[in-house]
Amino acid sequence: MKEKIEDNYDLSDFLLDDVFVRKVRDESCSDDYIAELKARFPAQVKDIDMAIQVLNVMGNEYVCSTQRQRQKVWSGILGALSIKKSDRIDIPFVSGKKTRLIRNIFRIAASFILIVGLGSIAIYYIRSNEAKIASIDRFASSTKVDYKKTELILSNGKKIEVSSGDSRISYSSDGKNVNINDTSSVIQPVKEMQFNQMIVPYGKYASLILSDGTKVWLNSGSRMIYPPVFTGKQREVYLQGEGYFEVAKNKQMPFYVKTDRFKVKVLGTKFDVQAYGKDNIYTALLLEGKVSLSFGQKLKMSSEDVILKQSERGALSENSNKFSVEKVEHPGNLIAWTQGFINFDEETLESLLNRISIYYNINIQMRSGRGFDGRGGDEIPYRYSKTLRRVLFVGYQTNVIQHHEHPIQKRYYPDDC
Amino acid sequence: MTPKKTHFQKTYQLEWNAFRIDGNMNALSVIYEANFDLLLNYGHKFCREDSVIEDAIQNIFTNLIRSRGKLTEISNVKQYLMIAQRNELFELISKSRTTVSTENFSDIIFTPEYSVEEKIVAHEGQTRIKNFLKVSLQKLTSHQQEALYLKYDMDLSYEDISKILNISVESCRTAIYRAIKSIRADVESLRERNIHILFSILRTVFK
Repeated sequence: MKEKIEDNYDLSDFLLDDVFVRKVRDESCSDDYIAELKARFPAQVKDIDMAIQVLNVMGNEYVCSTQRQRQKVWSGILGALSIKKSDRIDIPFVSGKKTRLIRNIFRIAASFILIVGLGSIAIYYIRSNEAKIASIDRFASSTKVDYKKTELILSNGKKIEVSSGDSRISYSSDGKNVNINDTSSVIQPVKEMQFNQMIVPYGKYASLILSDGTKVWLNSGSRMIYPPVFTGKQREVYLQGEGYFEVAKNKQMPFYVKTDRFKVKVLGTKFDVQAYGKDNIYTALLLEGKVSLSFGQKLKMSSEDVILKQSERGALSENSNKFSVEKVEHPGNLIAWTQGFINFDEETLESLLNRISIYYNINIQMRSGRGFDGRGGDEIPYRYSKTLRRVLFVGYQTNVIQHHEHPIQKRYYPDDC
Repeated sequence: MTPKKTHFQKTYQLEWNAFRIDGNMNALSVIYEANFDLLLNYGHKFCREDSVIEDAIQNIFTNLIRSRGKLTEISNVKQYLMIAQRNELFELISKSRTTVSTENFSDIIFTPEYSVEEKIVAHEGQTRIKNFLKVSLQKLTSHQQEALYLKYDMDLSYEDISKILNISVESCRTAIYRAIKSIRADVESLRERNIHILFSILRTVFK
């Protein structure tokens, strides 16, 4: 660093000069100092002024705490250490207020009472409605899952952990024989009103062939409840998260995909359903055939059914009970995840990152005005998991991002078009 | 700039030792009182919620008291507390939500709000320059912004800054140097643009 201000000083030299910065910042002598400096270096007046401006703008807002705030935190410190009141002397202020610890106990107690209260109300509500709600919904709301590992739960409650990144499950037509990843198979007893459940954690996905031949791909953070074999007048499955369906045709038994907010009625077709309750995303995208959307029993208010045409997507917004329908330009991109890819054409980075953040259950923060504008060679750094590193380090211009840990070389179902 | 900042110069070594060796709580409370605003302001650059920052400060001092026996002699209490504050905030913020930053250089995002003091600025042209500089500063990386903040606002030495940011003194110097160069480049482009506008006005006038 230079010690003396010289004729060839420019803006950056002034800013990097500690003496200059200190003198400008020192309110007692800054005016005189600046005036003297400008007189000595008339050619650099502009740079001096600009340097002062930069320093001013850089001067961050300085917040001053109140004594009450300091007292509050200090009592919290002592409270956390549970120092007796009589010992609390060596402090410059008296702490008579409730400590943070006590407040926390109050909070915990209050939330406990709240949870117990809400819980009993919920139980009461569920019991009184028990008769009305179909059994698959009841099963869904009575079982809780954590999305930690890929798991298949059979009707007898047996849990089978499926270890690979893309799991493939297929059922025999009587639902008794379950084939896992083409390598192992299980036999389960089949009774009516019993359900199987498939759970897919974030960052993973799975595909299934149900007993009726319907193919289902489950995306990250999803669970599907379904009977091992379909009986009765209709086929029903319950979905949380995202699933892509290729429903086997059977006009006598319409196929229903139920979610906690709406259901999709199908005759035989290809479509994608998203029901991420946590992110409030409820959509249905039709690729082929015909489906109709309606609300579940709980929301009988609107009787309107919405019929989707090819490449149309119906979405439910947070507070409305109406589906909004829009045409999708590249519907294939939105189901590319079934092949282990995230595809995007003419999609903004924001909506792309939105999709990624749902699949991996993370928030991605984009800082505006910086760095990334979608040109080639850019990369999005991150620090989360190895899988995500692989996802995000692929440049935006390559158009295809490998979605899952194990990229899939070819499609699983050979008879697929 | 603010009279409150004068305490930044003090290292509080005496009080530190009094607390560390004799368990003098009075000394600790002096350190606490004198550095509370510093930690509060530093914390504000990472997190807007007062309650989280207060929790961080509480944790720092609770830990100090709990592990008093393990504390060592340190030369700069302020710097020690700032490092602790940074770590504490990182813990608290990453616990409270799973957020992944697009920044790869900082664990938590440093997001200062640059002030544009309207009262000093007399006319419009000056406000424009200030806003321009604000944008120029925000274009810097989080790391650079934090380094500038520590140097110009907190008036810390390169050695102190490098310890807080956990980088070498050399890369700390480079970070600040690059940041300043980037601002200078922006200012130069602004000047060039202004000259262009001036010329085009002159050309149309004298045609």
